Amino acid sequence: MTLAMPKAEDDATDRALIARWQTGDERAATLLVERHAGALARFVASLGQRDELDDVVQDTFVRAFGSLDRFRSESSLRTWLFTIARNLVRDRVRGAKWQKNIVSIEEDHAATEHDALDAAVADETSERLRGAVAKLSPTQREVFTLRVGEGLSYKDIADVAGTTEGAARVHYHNAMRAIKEFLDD
Amino acid sequence: MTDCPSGEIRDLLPELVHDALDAARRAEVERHVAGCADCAAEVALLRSMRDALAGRTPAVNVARIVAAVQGANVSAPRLVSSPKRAFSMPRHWRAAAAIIAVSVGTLIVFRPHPVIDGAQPEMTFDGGVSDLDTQDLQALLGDLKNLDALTSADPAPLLSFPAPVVEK
Repeated sequence: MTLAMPKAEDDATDRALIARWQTGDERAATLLVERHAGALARFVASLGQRDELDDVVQDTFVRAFGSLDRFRSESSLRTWLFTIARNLVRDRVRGAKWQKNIVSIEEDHAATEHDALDAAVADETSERLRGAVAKLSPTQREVFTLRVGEGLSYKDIADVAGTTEGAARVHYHNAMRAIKEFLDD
Repeated sequence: MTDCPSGEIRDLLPELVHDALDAARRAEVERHVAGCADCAAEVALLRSMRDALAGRTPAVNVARIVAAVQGANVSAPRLVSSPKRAFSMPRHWRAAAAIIAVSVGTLIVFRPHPVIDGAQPEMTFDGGVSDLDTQDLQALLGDLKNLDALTSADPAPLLSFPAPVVEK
């Protein structure tokens, strides 16, 4: 599949900003964070890390900027950030389990939590759609969020989730089928 | 809601929604969607899903993140990459070299003095202030007065070199 210009332009912009940062332009760091922080926060939230979301997002950027020399541009910067964030979340979940304070990525935690304020102000249709996503298995939800919410390719999803393109495709189509069934009920 | 049998096209619908197809592929997918009710419904669902997920974006403090990034990367951004050493001696080799250097230095300082004709050299002091004549003492006192004057005066350059004279 040939990727279109918009993604290629995004990648080129990221590379240019990284080059500016590496040559001393501190403003480039702000621009890079602004470009990716929102998507990163959504992804981290989809993994069930709402309580520590700020810390995970911040740690992801700190770790990424600390090793930008090793970023090879084989994937997009955003995909790379997602991969770092996922590893950080996994480490935190393991730590939480070890401390018997389990906030597991396996649980239907973040996506099913709707506080009163959210429920009051949310659009009913959007809530219903998010409710459908919440019914997915953790893996399906992660793949579906990356595919539909962020527009990642199967290859990028496989890189982030540590799986294969084929498995990512299967998870996506199973998720889509489950969502359609939920909405048809 | 049913699924279109064209798996290849269905696979590209998220890319269509995210405007991530090149012009030719996009036109092909759009032609298909225009004539396929299942794919049209799926595209509408995907757009709604994309918007619903994007509308749930948690607030993040960009300034805090940037401050943390810049604080953690004290040495970055770097104007130039740090040069790599052509040769890097392992730590234990450096320690061994230091020990050898200290040992050799100690031997040089404390080695026995050579014995010449069986007589040990002695440290002698052949003279004192009483041996100075009047002219030497006056010169010494003059130097001391000059030193006293220096303490209350502005510091002068410690060293000054005359301009080199080039002989032709």
